[in-house]
Amino acid sequence: MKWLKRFGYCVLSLTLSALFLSLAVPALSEEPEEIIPPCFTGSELAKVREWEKTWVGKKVGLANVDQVKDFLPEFLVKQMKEPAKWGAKELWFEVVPYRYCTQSKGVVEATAKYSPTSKFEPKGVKTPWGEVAPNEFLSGYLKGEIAGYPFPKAKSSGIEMAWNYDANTSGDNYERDIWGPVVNCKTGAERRAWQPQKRIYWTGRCDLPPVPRIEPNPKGYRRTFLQILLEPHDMYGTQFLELRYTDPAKEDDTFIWVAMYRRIRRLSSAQRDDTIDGSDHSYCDEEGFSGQINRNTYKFLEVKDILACRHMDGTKYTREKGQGLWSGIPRERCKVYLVEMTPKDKTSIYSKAIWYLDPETWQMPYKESWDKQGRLWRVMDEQMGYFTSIKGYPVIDVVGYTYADVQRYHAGPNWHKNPKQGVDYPVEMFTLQSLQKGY
Amino acid sequence: MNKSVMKLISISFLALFVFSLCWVKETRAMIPLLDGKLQLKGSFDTFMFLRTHIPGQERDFHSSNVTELLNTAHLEAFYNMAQKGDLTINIQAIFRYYFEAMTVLDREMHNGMSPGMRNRYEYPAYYHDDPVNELYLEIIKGPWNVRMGKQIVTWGETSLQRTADVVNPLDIRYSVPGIVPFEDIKLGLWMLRTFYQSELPGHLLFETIFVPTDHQMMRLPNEGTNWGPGLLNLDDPNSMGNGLFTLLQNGWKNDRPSRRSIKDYQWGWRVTGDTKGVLWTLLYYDLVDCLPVGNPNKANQQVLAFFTERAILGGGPYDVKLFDDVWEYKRTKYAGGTLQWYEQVYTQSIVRGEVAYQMGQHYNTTNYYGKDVWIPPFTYKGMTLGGSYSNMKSLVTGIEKRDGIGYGLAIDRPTLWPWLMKYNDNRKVDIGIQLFQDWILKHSHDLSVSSRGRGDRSSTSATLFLQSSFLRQEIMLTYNGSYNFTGRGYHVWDCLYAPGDHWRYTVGCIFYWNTTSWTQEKGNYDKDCVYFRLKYEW
Repeated sequence: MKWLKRFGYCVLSLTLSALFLSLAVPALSEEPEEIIPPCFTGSELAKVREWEKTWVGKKVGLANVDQVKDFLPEFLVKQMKEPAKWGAKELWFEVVPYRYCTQSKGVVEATAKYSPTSKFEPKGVKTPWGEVAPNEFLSGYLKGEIAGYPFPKAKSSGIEMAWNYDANTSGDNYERDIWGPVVNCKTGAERRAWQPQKRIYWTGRCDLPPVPRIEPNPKGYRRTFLQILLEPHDMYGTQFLELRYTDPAKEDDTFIWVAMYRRIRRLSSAQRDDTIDGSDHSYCDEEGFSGQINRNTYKFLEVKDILACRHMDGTKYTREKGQGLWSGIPRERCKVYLVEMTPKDKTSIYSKAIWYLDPETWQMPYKESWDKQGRLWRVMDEQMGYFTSIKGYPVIDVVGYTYADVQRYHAGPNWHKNPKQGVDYPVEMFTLQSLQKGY
Repeated sequence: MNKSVMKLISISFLALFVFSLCWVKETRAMIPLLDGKLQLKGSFDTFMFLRTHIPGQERDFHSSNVTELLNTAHLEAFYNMAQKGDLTINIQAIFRYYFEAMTVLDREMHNGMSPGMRNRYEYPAYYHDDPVNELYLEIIKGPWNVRMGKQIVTWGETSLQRTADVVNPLDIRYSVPGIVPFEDIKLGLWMLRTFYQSELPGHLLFETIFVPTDHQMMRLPNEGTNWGPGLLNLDDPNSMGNGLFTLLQNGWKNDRPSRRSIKDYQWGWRVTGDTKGVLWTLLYYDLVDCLPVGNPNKANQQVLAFFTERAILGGGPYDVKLFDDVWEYKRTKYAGGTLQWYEQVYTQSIVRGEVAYQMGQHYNTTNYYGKDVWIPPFTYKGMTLGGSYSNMKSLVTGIEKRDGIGYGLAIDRPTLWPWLMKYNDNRKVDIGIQLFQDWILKHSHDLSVSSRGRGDRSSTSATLFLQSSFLRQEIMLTYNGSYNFTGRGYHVWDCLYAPGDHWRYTVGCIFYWNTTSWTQEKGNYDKDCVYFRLKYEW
């Protein structure tokens, strides 16, 4: 009977084990899959955590940058190795642990609602500036019927990733002061810029009612943007109004109130490519890219582990006078998708650019742009951070960015001061008439 | 202007300058005071003109080729008096005080000018309120915006010539369009200006202007100064004419409308709209001209008195007695409009234009084409003059009233010049082309028209503007060229160096050219110059 007893125990243990597994394993496997997937999970995450044991809290500078060079864009390694050329005694950053970038409830819900049916328009469109090819323009974008990231799990399509980038609305309505100097690193001369700006997204809204769009919108705005220039001195009082349409065939309308001439001047869209007042970026370069997505073609290159700044606190920026690049930036290990962008416009000042896109935020922590002669020209190092909107929802947004001219050693370290997201603006603020009141 | 007031203003500017340097730790484009309600901003500026060639017959009146050294202090103030709900009350002010030093430093220039004219030239001393460029109270409530005080108005779309932008007269004694923008040489007028932002289609913005009493004459360059007619050496046979232009200017000032007389009111309105991407305005303005016409008999008597004084009585050019009521400032009405749009299909350029119909512009007619003119008898310093026909050229024969029409059209297109890209940081070159034309309707050849050659019914001119920046926009190069189809024009090359937040260095030159031998149509043919400008902005 002993063997029978043993057999019974075995059956009971197996049954209990099976019962346990049947309950426990599904519980594990049913952990809700993030609609916006994290960079690392499982063994990948474990490896990252292991690596972090060595590096988190460490200051990376000239002495040890080579040890992490595989996790940095080549231009950044080069910059850190030649601090004197950038007007600095030393350039450094700190390694911090990877943290998942939790998006606001609005962004998650909009992505969950609209992304399953995301698709491209099968027909191309001819526009005054060129052609939008078939399967390039996002369905539902024209009328503002969609919001959130259209392709949150994009893995290999450059155009899908570019549209994800375009979907960021930074809390839908926001204001901030773009503050920072443009620095001639060779001479140490600085020319400061201080530009308060306000922006409303009319479509693709996720967080601030009305979502997903403001109605009525008879002109078909995608977003409207107002900026005043307080510095440099000679530009004091100059104001910009930019009207972006959802229709790719419609050029942006950009108006400028020139304080010196007391006139409203309309800007040609060709001027969107021109450098902004002595800095190292154009209107189209703002925060990575602020042009129309369909003005370029995109090609996915590779996925890469990288150290990028995603949890920035503006107070951590440090810089000496005459120094073109920030130090003190906390960078964490994350994944990025490298996408090659090629302008369709032959008169563009760039021959191509490489965007580094973070799949959790679809922001662009780094960008490299090449001139018409095919030489690396401008690079961008962008820092993201968490904000709480005045309505209480979290917003992942750009805290600052630095564009640097690697050919001429000139740079502009920006910092977005006084940010406010979720502000209710009257839409009339973003009209030509509000500029006209200026005179 | 009272010298103690001038001293007070100078000391105030100096104090503000020292304040800005010593107490404002973080330099900004404006200094916020009173919790940011008061904002101050300003600049100090020295502008020097060096003529490349001074004709021999003018040499006696210049010790050097430096003919202008203008020092200017500029203060802008904005004060937010009240902010409650949709009611905002602001005060905005621009003060400008200047000192033209060359007529002090160069004794020859100093001696060539009449004391009164020199005083008005060296300081802002035409009127007691000259240092106030603008000063107005602004009340904004809902769709209404009311501004009361001295203001400068910009109604035009083009630069270098004004067709529809007619509200403020100009002061062109120290510089000219092409080197500085119109807004820097406009004279503010005390006015009431209102805006009403409607909800009508096209977002129509209604604007009215009422200038109850203020009239300013256009300030033309003085004889012997950089931009004015040259004074000729005393051994030159034509030197007898030295001082005639000063006499005329003094006469214009003497006979100008009172700044307290309601009968010389000016008014106008403008509607601004935005239709299908086209920004347009319609405007109407009823003004008193900023330049007068001469009463035929009295103007001729004045000229005769001038030459009698100089040739017979042996008096100096500034001993001539000024007659009253020689000049009349007449009323003219302007109706017109402006347009601005982005032409994106064919040229990808910004097109700007303005048109104006002048109603009832008054002109003098002259005997330039050979007509003897009767000068009535009059008594001058005990002598009876006139009472005979004279064949002197350019005597006034009458006043005629004519309508006119003019337009200005501008096309701006930033363009990538591949060969320049490696030098100008891959920036585009801003290119602007403008065309201006105007016609006098029912024209007659004896009309005297100041802005063009005698006898021309129409005037046509074109301008070219090129601008690009280098070294991260620390250096800005600009070219302005103008060609008047009568065969004259100018080139202006300007190089601005802006290395940091405060200092601005400018060097430039202006060269005039012409294909006519007719001196009257040569314009500033002898005014070629190089200029230097040093500016500190705070």
